[in-house]
Amino acid sequence: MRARMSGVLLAGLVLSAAVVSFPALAQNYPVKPIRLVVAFPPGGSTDIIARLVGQKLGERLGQQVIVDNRGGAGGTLGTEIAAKATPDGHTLTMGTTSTHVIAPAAYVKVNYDPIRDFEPLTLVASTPYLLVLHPGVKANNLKEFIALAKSQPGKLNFASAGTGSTTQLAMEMLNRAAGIDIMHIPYNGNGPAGTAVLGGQVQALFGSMPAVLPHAQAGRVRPIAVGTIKRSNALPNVPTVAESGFPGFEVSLWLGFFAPKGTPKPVLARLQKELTSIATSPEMGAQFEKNGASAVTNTPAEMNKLMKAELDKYGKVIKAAGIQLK
Amino acid sequence: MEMSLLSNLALGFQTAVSLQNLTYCFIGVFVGTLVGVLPGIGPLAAIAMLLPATFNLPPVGALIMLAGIYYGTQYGGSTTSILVNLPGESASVVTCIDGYQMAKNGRAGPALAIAAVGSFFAGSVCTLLIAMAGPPLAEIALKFGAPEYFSLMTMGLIASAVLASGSMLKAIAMIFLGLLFGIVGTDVNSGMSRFTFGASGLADGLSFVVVAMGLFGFGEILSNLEKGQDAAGRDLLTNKIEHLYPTWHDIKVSTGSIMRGTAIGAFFGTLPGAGPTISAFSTYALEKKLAKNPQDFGKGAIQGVAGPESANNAAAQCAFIPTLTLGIPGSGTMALMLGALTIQGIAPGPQVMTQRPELFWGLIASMWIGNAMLVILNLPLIGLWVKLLTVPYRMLFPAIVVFMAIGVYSVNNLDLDIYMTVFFGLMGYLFQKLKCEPAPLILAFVLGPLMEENLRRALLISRGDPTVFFTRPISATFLILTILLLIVMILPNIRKKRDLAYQEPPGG
Amino acid sequence: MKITSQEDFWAGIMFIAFGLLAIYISQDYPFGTTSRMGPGYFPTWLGIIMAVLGVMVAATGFRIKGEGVGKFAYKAMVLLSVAFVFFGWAIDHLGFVPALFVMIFLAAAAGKEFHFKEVLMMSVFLIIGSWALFIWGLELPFPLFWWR
Repeated sequence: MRARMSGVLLAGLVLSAAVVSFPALAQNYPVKPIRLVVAFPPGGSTDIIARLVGQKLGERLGQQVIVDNRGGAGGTLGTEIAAKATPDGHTLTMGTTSTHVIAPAAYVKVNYDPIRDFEPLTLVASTPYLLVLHPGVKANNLKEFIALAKSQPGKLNFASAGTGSTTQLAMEMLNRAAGIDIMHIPYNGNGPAGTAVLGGQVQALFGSMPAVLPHAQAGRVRPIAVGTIKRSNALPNVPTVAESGFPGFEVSLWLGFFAPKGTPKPVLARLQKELTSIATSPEMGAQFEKNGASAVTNTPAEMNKLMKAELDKYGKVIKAAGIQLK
Repeated sequence: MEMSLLSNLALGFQTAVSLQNLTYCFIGVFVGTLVGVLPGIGPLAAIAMLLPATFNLPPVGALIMLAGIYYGTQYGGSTTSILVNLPGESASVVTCIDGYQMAKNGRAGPALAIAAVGSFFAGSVCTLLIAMAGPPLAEIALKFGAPEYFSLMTMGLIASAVLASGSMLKAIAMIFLGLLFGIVGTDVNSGMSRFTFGASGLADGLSFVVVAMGLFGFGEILSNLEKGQDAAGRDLLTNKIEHLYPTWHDIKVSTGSIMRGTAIGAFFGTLPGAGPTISAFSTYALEKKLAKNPQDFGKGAIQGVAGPESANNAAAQCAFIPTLTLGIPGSGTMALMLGALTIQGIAPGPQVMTQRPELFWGLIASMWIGNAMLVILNLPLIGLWVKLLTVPYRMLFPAIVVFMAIGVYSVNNLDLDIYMTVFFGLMGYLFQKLKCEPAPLILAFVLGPLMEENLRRALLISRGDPTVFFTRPISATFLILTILLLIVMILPNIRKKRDLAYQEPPGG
Repeated sequence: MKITSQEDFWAGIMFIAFGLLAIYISQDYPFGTTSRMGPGYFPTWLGIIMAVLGVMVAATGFRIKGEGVGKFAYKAMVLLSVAFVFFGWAIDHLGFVPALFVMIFLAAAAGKEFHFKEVLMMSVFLIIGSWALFIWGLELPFPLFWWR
C-alpha cells in the first residue's frame, strides 16, 4: 500500500514537473551561457560594441554572454551560423547594416534571409561615416572637393574597407549624387584604409567614425562632411552632407541584436527589454561616444521596416556601381 | 613640454614597478608564453579571450598585461618550433628549419637558450628605440604605399629561395606553389572568391595554422613514424641530449646574427602589415649568405635560430610604434590592442604621449621588464622541455596530435579546418618523400597574397603605369636590391656549372 | 631514358599537375588587362610558370642521380588521417572527451608499438590535461559530451 502511494506520488511529481517545465522554460531562461555570434574578427568596432553590451546583458540575465567571433566573407559566415542556430534564446547575434542589408544585396548568393530567418530585438548603436581628406588635398569643404573632382575627372582616388563595404557605398552614393568620378581603391579593412588616407596614398576616405575620428581630431586628416542627418557631437563644426547641398543623404552603420527565427516570444520580450535598457543607460552611452558611436534603440517592427527600406536604398547603389560579390 | 628621455623613462619605471603593474606584466607574459607554446592559439585569440577581463582593470595595467601576452607568444612560439617542428606562428616557421635539426642533434638546450637570449636583446634594444625614435619612425612607415610594399614583398620572396638547402629549382617551384595556395580566398581588389570550391570556410583564405600544422606537424609525424618502423627494437626517435646551454663558440657565432636580426626586425616591425614573418625570413637569408659555414644551414646552424628569433621579437616589439604613436594598427593583433585602448577611453596617437605620459612611458618600461621576466621564466624551463624530449616517441606523438588538433580547431571552430590540415599533412609527407622543402612554400603562401594585392593596387592608383615601381625612391631601392639578390644567387650556380663543364671526363 | 631520380621526376609531375589545375580553375575568373588585372590574371600566370617549372624539374629526374623515394607508411597515413578527421567530426557531435579518446587510440595505433594499457593511461592523462588547459584555463567553448 505504501509502495503504491509512493509510486503514484512519484509519477505525479514527474508529470507535474514535465507539465510545468515546458512553458516555464521562458521563465527559467537563461539556463546556460549565451552565445553571442559576432560575424567579424575581434577588435573591430562591431566586436567592441558587442562585447560591451554583451557583458552588461550577461550581468542582467545572470548567465555569461560569450562572444563567438566567426569572421569571414564580409560578415555572412557568422550570420549564417546564427540564422541556423537552435532558437532557444541561447544563441544571439550582433547584426549590422553590413550583415543584414549590404551582404544580401551585394552577394550573388547568401545562405540566409535577413528578415525571414531572424527575430529582430532592437538596435543598440549607430556609427556615422565621416568624409575625410588627406591634408594635402586643396579643398576645405565638400563644395570645394566636388569642384576639384569635377575639374580632374577620373584622377582622384578614395579608399574603402573593401569591395561592397559601407565605406565604398557611401562614396559611390556621393559620386552619383554629385556627378563626379572618384576612383575606388579597395583595402582590407578600416585600418589599412585609414592608413592609406593618412599617408596620402589616396586623397579621400568616407570612413567609419570610430576608425577615423582620432586621426581627424589629431589633425592628420581633414574632416569635411559627416554622413548622418544631424551633425556629430564629436565634431560639431563639420557639416553634414545633407546640409552641404544633398538633402536626404544619409549613410550610417547600425548595430542591433537578433535572435534566430522561432525563438519563444517571452524570451524575445525579455531580451528586448534588457537590451533597450542597457543601450539607453548613461554609462553605455558614454562608452559608445568614446568609440565614435551613438546609442539608438527601437522596436522589432521598426527594425524590419528599416531593413526593408535600406535594402532598397543600398540595392540601387550596389547595382549602379556594378558590385557583385561571390 | 620638453622632458628629457631619462626623466620620461624614470616616470615609466616608476609606473611600471608598482606591485600591481608587475603582477599584470607577469600574468601577461606567462599567458603569452603558454599561448605561444600551444600551436593554433595565437596572440590574437588569446588577447581576444582576455580582453573582457581587462575592462575592469586600470588602463595602464590592462595595456601592460595585453602587451605582455603579445610579445610573450613570440618566446613561446620558438619552443615548439625547436622541440617538435610545430611553428606556433608564421614567424616561428624559420626557427623550425635549423632549430628542430639542432634538437634532433641533441642540442635543443642551446637552441632554446640562444632563442631566449637573442629575443631578450632584441626586446631591450627595441624598447629603447620606441622611447627614442618612435614618432619619426612611424612617419617613415607612412611613406610606404602599394608600390613600396610590392617591391618589399618581392625581395622577401626571392630571399626565401635562399632558404632552401637543396635544389634551387625545386625551391623556386615550391615558392610558386605557395603563391598558388595563397590565392585561395577572396580577392581584395574585386571581391571575388577564388579557388574556394564553394566552401564558405575558405572564403577568407587558407588559415596559416592549418597549412603550417599540416606541412610541418602532421607531415613530420608521418615521416618519423615511417622511419621508426625500420628500427629493430630500439626507438630511433628518442633524442639524446648534450649540454643544456650554448658553448662559447655558439655565443661568439651568434652575436652578429642577433644584432643583425634585431636591426632587420626593428625595420620591418615598424612597417604596418609587414611584421615578424618577413623579418625572420629575411634575417635567415642574410645570415646564410654572410656565414662562414653556409652548408650547415638547414642542418642545425645556431645562427639560423639566433638571427630569426631576435628578428621576430624585435618586430613584435616595434609593431607597437605605429600603433601607439599614430594610432595605426599594423596587424590584427594591434587592432585589438587599439580596441582595448579605445574602450579604456584613450585615443592613441601623438596626444597619448603628451596627455597620458604615465601610460605611454609606463608601457614602454614594462616592455623591458616583461622581456626580462620572459628570460627568467624561460631559461630554467629549458631543462624541463629537454626532459620532455626523452619521452619515447610512441607516447610523445599522440600528445602532439592532440595539441595540433585542438589548436587548429580552436581558431575557427570549423571542422573544415581539421580536414584541410589532413590534406596538407599528406601533402607535407609527400613533399618530404619527394625532397621538396616546405619553408619556401609557406613563406610564399604568406607573402604572395600581399604581393598581388599591392601590385594590382599600385597599378590601379597609377592608372596602369608600371614605371611607378621605379620612380618612387623607396620602391626602386627594394627592386634594385632584389635584382642584386637574384644575381648573387644565380652567379655561383653558373660558375659551378662552368667549372663542371671544364672538367671533361676522359674519353668524353 | 631511365628515371635516375625518382623524387625529382615525380616532384615535377606534381608541379605540372598543380599548374594545370590552376590554369583550368582560373578560366572561370575574368582575366582583365595588364594595367587593370582581373582576378584571373595572377593565378593563370602562376599556373603557367608552375607547369613550366614542373617540366624542368621532371627533366632533371633523368639527369641527376637521386636517392629514391622509399616506401610510404600507408598504415600511419590512414590511421592518422582517420584519427584527425574523426576528431573534426566528433568534437561537435560527440563532444570533446569522446572525440579525443578515439583520436588518441587511432593515432597511437599508427605507431610502431601499441600497448593497450599504456595507451589507455596516456589517453586519460592527455584528456584531463587538455581539459584543464583548454577548457578550464583558456575557457574555449568546446562541449564536453554529446549531451552538452
